[in-house]
Amino acid sequence: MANNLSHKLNSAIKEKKSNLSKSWKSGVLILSLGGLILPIASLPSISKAIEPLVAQKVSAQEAPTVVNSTRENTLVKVAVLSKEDVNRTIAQWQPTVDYLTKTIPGYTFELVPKTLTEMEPYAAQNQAQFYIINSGMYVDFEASLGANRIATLKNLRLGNPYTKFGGVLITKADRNDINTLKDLKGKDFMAVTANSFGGWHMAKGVLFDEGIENPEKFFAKLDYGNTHDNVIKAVASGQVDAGTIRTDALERAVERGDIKLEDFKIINEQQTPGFSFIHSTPLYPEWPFASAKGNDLKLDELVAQALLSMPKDGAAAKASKSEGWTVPLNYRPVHELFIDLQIAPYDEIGRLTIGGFIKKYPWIGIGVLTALTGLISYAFYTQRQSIIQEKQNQKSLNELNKSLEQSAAEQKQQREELETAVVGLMEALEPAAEGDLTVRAQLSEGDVGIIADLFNAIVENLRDIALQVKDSAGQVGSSLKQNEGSVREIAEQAEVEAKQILATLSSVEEMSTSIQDVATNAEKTATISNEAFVSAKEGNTVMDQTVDSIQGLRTTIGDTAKKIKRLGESAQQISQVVALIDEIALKTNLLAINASVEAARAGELGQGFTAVAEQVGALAEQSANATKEIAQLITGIQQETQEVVAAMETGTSQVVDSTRLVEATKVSLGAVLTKSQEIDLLMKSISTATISQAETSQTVTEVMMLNSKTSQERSLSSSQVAQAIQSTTAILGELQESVAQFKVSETEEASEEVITA
Amino acid sequence: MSSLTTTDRLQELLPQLFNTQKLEGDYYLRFQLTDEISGLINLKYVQESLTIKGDRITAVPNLPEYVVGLMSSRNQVFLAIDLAHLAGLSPETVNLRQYQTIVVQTNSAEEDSQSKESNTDGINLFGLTVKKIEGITRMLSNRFIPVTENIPESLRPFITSAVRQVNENATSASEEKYSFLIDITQLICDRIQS
Repeated sequence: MANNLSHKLNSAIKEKKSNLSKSWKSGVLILSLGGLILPIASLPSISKAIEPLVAQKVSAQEAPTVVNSTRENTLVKVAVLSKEDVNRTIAQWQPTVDYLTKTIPGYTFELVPKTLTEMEPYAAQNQAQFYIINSGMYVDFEASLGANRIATLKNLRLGNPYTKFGGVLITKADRNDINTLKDLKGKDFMAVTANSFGGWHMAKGVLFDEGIENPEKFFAKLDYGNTHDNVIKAVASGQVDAGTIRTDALERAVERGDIKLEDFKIINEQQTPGFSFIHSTPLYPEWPFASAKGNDLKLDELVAQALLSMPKDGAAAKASKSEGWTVPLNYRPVHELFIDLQIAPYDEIGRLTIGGFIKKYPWIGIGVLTALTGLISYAFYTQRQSIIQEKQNQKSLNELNKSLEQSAAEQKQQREELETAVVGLMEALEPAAEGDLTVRAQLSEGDVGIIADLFNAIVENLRDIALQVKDSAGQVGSSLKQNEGSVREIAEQAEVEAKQILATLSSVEEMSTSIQDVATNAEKTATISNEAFVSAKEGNTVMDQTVDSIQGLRTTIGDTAKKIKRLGESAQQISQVVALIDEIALKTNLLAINASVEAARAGELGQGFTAVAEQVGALAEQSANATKEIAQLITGIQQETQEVVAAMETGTSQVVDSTRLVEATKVSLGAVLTKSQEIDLLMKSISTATISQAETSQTVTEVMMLNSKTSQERSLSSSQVAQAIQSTTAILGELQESVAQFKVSETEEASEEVITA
Repeated sequence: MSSLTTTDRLQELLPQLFNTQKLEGDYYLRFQLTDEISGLINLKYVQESLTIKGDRITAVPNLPEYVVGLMSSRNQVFLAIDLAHLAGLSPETVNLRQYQTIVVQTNSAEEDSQSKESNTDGINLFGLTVKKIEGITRMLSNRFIPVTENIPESLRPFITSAVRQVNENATSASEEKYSFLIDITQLICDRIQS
């Protein structure tokens, strides 16, 4: 809307003449509409039809009010101007809205964030009940939509609440050429945005007061920094010569440490008591909380009360970076500023009013009045034509009624005649209804006569049918009786059969069990014979080993016998040697004796020699004794050797015997092996056979089961058949009874007639 | 020492040979008469002891049965006599391969010893064949004890005393054996010259 406003402003200034022609066109439009409405209003019937429409329109326009007055939580929309990010706006204002919902019972407040461009069309639809908007927009809404402020924000800036704010014009501190507003001529200038209130409009107002009505031409170049900080940066960096920002933006930047206050020079600095920020422009009130036009006054009061009593430490106040709200300030200075700057809603100042237009162009009004008169006269004419038509219709309706009454009387007479004939027919045929098929109706002329004839034919036919039914029922009954007996027999036989099959089944099951036992036993036997086979195999191996070791023993015994024989031979040799030694010893002894004899002959001189000879003799004697002992020992050895040899021989023969025995055992073991193998094979075949037998018996069992089932089913179905026959008999009885009701005798002639007919 | 003479060396090797110490007792030749009887003969009667092969004893006919035959030794021929047979016991040495023989000399009188060389005929040599010659025994006279038991009747006249044998193998007193001292001259005189 603001863009639109500025555009309109520009165009208004530039094209004042074309503006006049536009006003003329809109004037004609309004007048022609008025011309249409006037003749409609003069018709009472039409005006009545239109009235509800008009009322509806009015109620639609007042819909918000109606909604407010409902008791259950009424939805109240609070439109909030979102300057930057929508999420941030929600974070800032949602607590305030929640606070209102909580504080005011019966109403639910909903936050509707809208950007600068969205807000104006939204407000034009008159959907919101309250607005939180900037001062500039409020002034616009107050003038164009009838919005009304109910509170002003106590904005919290650097720890203090302020209800007013202004603009600051800054340049760099070392720019000695810029000291006053006039010095800005021909310089580069930067504002926040084209429609920023604090960031441009206020500065523009100051310039206007200085007599500079067209700042775009006054400055060499006019830029927009979009944010306050961008403007500060641009001025600090020398990108532009000067700029304008809202109050406290500079102080906040200083506090953040981005810049130093000494680096900047304030142009046209103002002093306002109670306002501590630097400012160059007059101060204007902060954001208002405005109520839309047509709101319930009571709601407005409640909201205002809630806002004013909002705790300054509460979540709502903190989120909105304020200390709550205060009584609404005077927004008159804003109005004046906007009038000065010709910003919306004051962008079309100088437009002519409707009355002025009518005075200026009276011929248009006369034309309209003429058209109206024509319309009224046409309406009267059409109404009169329709009344004449209705009177003619009434006349023809009366004539039609008369002719209808005449024809009714004739019909009544005919009906009475017909009734008598019918009663006669009914009386004649009444016994037939009770089963007497012998009755016949009297034939007469006319329609009733034909009916009677037909009735007679029907009754005849019925009699035939009844006769046939009686006959066939009797036949069916007799045959049923026969059937019943045979069916019963079949059922009994089937039962007997089922019982037999069951018995067979049980015996087959027993057989299957015993077969299974046989199979199990055969398997066990197979296992055992297999084990026997294995152990026989092992025995064979062991036998082989035994044979080997016995052979080895035989060899060893043979060797030992040889060695023993050799020992005997050696003993023989030793005994020979010993005999030789014995002889030598004897000879030595004799020599010693001789020596002693000779020594004794020699007398005293030979005495020493005698002693020696004596010793030699003793030695010889000893050696002779020793040889004797040796000989004895040798003899013992020889004897023992001989015994050993004999024992050896016995052992050898025994070994040979055992070898033979072992071989025989081996052979018999081999036989055992073969036999056990055969047994194994046989057992396996038995096992296989039993398994197949078991399977066969299983199959037999299944077949038997099937048989049993079938026979059971047969028994069941035959009993069902018997039952069915019984019920058929019963039905037949009923049939015979009902047929018996018909009286058919004494009517043979009549029946013939009927049949031929 | 190696430079010593043969006599010195002998003296060194056999000191007893040159020991002039007097040995007490007389020497006797011990022999086995039979299996049971062990006899002793004074060494002074013994000329020599030898083994002689059977074929070196020449049998002589018409001589008493105790005579084995004629034999020779040291250039002298004399009779070989079976001592056991002579003593009236069963003959011990018959047809042996070799005979153990004690050659004894019996003088008719001891006084005649001086006339030995002059009268060689006076020296009578006899070869006594025994079962076994055992050896020389030196014995003091007091060791002899008079015995009468266990002596065969035929021997009694020639045995006056005996010596108890010191047998190491004997374990009991009953097995004690005696070596009988045989008066050989008496025996020969009585049996042969009578």
